[in-house]
Amino acid sequence: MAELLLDSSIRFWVFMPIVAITFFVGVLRHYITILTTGEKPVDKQQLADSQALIRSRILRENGKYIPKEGFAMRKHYLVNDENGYLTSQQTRQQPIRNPITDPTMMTEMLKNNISNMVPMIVIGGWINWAFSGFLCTKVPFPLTFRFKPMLQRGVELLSLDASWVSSVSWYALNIFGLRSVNTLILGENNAADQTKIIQDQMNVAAMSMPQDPSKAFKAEKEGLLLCDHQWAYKTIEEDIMTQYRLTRVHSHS
Amino acid sequence: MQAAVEKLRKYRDENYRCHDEVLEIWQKHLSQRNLSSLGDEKWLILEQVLKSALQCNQLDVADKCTEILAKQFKQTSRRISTLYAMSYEARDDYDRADKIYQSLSQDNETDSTVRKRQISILKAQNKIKDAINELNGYLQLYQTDVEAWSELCELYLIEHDYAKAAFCAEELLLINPHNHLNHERYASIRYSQGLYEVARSYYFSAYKINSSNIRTLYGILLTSMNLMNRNLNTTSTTSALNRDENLEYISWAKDKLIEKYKEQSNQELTSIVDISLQNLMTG
Amino acid sequence: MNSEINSLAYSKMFLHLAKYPELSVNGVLLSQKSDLILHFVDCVPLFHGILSLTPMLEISLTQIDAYCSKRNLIISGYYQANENLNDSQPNLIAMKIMEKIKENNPDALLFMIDNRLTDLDENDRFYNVLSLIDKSWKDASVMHTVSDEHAHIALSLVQRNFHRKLVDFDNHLDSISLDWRNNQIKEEIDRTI
Repeated sequence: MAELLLDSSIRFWVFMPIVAITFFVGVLRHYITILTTGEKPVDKQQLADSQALIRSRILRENGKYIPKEGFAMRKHYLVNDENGYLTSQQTRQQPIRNPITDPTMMTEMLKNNISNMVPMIVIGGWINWAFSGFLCTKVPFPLTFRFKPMLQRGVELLSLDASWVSSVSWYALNIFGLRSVNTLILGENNAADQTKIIQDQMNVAAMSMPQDPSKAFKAEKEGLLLCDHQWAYKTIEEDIMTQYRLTRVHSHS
Repeated sequence: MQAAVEKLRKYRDENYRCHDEVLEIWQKHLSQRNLSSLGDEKWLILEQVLKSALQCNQLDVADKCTEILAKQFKQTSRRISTLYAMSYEARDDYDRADKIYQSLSQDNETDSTVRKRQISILKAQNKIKDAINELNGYLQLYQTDVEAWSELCELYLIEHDYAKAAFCAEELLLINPHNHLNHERYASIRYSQGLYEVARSYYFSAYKINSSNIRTLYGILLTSMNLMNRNLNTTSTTSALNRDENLEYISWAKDKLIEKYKEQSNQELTSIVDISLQNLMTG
Repeated sequence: MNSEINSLAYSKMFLHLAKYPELSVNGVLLSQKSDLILHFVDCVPLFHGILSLTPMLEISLTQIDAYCSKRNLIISGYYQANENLNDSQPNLIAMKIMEKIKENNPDALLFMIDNRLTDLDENDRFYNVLSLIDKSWKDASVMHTVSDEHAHIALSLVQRNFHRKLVDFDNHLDSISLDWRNNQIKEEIDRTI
């Protein structure tokens, strides 16, 4: 197959601009999200629920580190049949927040969408329009045929070697690849990270589901009821002393 | 200057308590300089210095910091309002401080710092019982707040309510079971209550986590001695067995202690410790 | 009974306050045995922060006893500063520890730090001296003499940041390489006099 040579202006007018654009868009996104998202107060009930669930989980996991009486007292507080915290919360009616009727939630979602989706579509579309059809670079190792749709989006040439990277794919690679550069410059947890949106969207889906706390409480209550107390330090004195006696015997012999 | 900034950053990140040093660094290295080269860290430093100045009652320094901060950020900023309220607190003007906190908590009833400040006002006025009540209310909501549990534990200790303090210490153990300081604190509270068996178990567990904690060895020694003396009067076979066990713990802890002191090669101190341990055993 | 204090005990007590201005602190004062008046010649800073836990207190008191018997000294005073700035009243902790000390030395005195007096440019002492008689406190400050130069020495030590070098018993238990007898402060005072 004939060797391909790229025009050096592709380097200056396609390769570099894409890197620069993705980077600066990332920085811009960071500042826009800082500007638009205010501190939103946490819902009191939600907070209490999650804290109670965490505490119950901690009690299940670390209960063995406290004496039996302490464990039994806490367990009773959480799950007794009359007024245990988890028992009473389990039967509580949940006001379901409907995103359509609740205006604050609507604006919140809108804000999110504006800062997340719009730039992604606009920039992506623009890149596609302005830089489509170029090959920008080549990865220095051979790749199999299956990589072609990933690395050569926009250049559908059957006979082309799979190591060549098209401009649109180069943009996609940059979105992911510049993540660490952005963390370096803007600090951890910056908003420039587009890949996080994908994860966020999944979380949003989980959150906006009529997520039923009473179910979570029920599961937690059952878990805690099954959990028995085994004090971790029942024989701690003996454990340490046996160890000590062993070393003493060794040093004497 | 770079060193000074880094030192301040370290203190800030680790929540280190050395307010006079912070002020000293500020006055020696930073206060006369133009800090804009630091970017956003400038504001963090100003906030830190302000808080330290309030701690050390250097109100003029504090005022200067609030002034710069208020100029940069809008009056509506919650953080700035909190700082203003804190400087009222430092002037013992608790009513005005509380008024600010109340209006802040009306805007956002789940703001934990504001509620904590309100509790600390009660503490500053020596209303320990009210502070305990408020803190209990706070913990109903924030059930896993380590800082609050540990503060409540200290408040109960001031009131000599060891049983309730022990409850808080248990809570700390649950949240953070691998910190030897939590174990040691719990053991000491139980010891003060006279519950030597539990105390000893937790001194041992603290020793297991961190064998360089010298308090645990002293604790094991004291608990074993008390348990032995308690059983001295009864002459059943179980108590004889107990006695041997306790004696073994005592001699083990003593050997370890002397060994550790010898490593320090401070002869006079070692002999003082030695004599004091002898006295403990005989008397 | 009349009492007086030397600059070493005075300064160590003051340095302990300066080291932990935001916390409650306590410690004991030592005097020479067989004196007609109580002459405090040394001081051992004990704890800061939480004072009401007993185990390490017991340990510290036995060690100080051992130290005293070597030097022919006796524990004859206890000082305490409460966490709250405006509170200079003896509390339950002070009462309990004083009762314990009085078992050995019935003349023992209590020093309560009074934060209104801590400006040493104006006051010559920063504490009130109390004696415990039949479970009630009586002010014994009038019978307590402080030499004029003590305040000067204590202030100059703080200015040279000696409070950061002071070791109390808590510090010692955190790391036993730190010596609670604070010999370096004694040397420094001996040098300046």
